[in-house]
Amino acid sequence: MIKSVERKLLLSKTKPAQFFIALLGAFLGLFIVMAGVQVYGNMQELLTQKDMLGGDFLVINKKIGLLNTLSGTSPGFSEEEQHELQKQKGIDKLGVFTAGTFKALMEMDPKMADMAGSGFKTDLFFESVPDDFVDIDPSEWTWKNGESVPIIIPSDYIKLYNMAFAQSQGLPVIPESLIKTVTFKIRLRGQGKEEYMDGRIAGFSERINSILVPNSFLQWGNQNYGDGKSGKPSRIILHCTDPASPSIVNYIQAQGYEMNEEKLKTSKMNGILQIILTIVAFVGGLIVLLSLLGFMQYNQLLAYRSAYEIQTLHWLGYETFALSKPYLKFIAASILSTFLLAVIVTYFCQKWFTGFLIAKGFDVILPSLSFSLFTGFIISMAMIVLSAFAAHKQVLNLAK
Amino acid sequence: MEFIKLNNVLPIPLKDTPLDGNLWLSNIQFQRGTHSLIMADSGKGKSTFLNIIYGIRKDFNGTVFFDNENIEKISSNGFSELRTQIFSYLFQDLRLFGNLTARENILLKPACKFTNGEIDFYAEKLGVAKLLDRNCQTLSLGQQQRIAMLRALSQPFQWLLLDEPFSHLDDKNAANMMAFVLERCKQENAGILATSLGDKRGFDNFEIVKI
Repeated sequence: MIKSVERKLLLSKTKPAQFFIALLGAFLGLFIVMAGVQVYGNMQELLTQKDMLGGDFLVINKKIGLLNTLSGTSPGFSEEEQHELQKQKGIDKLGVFTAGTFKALMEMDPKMADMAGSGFKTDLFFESVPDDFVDIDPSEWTWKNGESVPIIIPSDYIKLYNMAFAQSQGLPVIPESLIKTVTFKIRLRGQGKEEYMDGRIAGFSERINSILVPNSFLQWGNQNYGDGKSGKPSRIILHCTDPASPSIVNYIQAQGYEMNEEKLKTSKMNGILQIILTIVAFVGGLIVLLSLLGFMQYNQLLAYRSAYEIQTLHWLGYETFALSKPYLKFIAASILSTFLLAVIVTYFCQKWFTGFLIAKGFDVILPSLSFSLFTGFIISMAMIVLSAFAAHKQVLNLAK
Repeated sequence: MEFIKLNNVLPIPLKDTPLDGNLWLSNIQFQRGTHSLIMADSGKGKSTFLNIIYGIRKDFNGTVFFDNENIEKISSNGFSELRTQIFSYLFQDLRLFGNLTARENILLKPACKFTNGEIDFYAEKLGVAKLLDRNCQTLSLGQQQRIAMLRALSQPFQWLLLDEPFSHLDDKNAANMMAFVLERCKQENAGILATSLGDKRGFDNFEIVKI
């Protein structure tokens, strides 16, 4: 069909004000849904920061009561309790902490201590968790007799050293990356023996308030230097599909177990966030739905106003699809430009938010727009398909 | 398409109308290349007959065959194709687009095979050459009827359906137009199914079918 004629006959009866209102609704709905999805992604990123242990772990222990102090035992998790935990929805892996039963002393490599002008020495204890709980290159997290021992320490230790100790003692501050290059001597003592070996810092953890070594090293140490005691594990590490999920947290609290406070706060915030975002998604979805209905009706009316033209063209020999094509193109172009506009606005909102976080001193990389774009795209496609279907049906009706 | 056959056809709205002709409720066959004139008073279903053939109306009892194909089996797209190759129809209400020029109206016909030069040539013959680039709503009914005829004849066809084609024309213009119609039908070896209220003017040598 001749282009200008197509416009004159089929798309001549547009009502700009109605059209604008129909699309304004579509724009608002799309933007609210996309922004909601994006905010959710941003918050997930802010609330679950990366850790050597990955983001999906919870560490729990039992409360220590007076009885434990008097009897000298520490409360541990029985087999049944571990089983029960593993059965909970959202928990897919459970690992126990194994404690070292030997005495260990760590000191700075004498050669490096000379270079730095001073050294340090500290007693410490080791623990291990099953190796697959540690989010680190497996080749770095193995130990064989004679090799240096990789160690994960709480990142609080470095902060404490850098921010308080080093400054008060006039020692140099050490960035995390440099610490990884420092080698230490570890002295093991027990069963009347003593041995020195090399150690190095392999990584840091925000989550675990403990000094972790590979399981193989701990087994070996307990065998050769340990006192042979072993009890119920006092701490348990859980791999969760969503560690901030309120349902897991509720179960853990109901059992009287303790968990890291930070997780608890995250979980509470997550719970509130989920409620808010559900409301936002609902409102956005409702607006999308209403605007879709409005837009569908607008197109049906647009076609209806050209009823004579559609019927006559059909009688002159045009196939119905050729007659609905101008409407389908018009619908696709309208929705896609609305989507594009929503993308641009979402992009600038995200940019503003990132700038805001940086200004507030957050050091995070926000997730890309891809997921919210994908969501918006799917909704737009659905709107196009439904509107196009309605318009085509209308043309079929009018062409009779 | 060589034959159009009607077997006991009766439009549903005509159920209670007394009929004495030989079109409805009878077996009648039209052959390609012949010229037939359907004559009756208004309200006896002349336009309905053409609309049934053209696939616009389906509210009838009985069967219509194109050659040996029952037209109930022809799809909407199938009819669209017939309307560009087999049938051409001059509607009683002309069905021009008032906001388009006469020339645009003609070029709009799918399968229009007239070039701009041919449109000028034939329009000259019908005496409407000067009107081709004016909007149709500014033309008189007689002028519009000639433009609509020009549009109907611009495509290939085997059957020409004419619904009261001279209703707005004087004798001279009617004869002029009939000459043009016959010339085109000869070129296409086409049959004509025309209707008239009872006036045989201009339809020389047409076989009369009374309703």
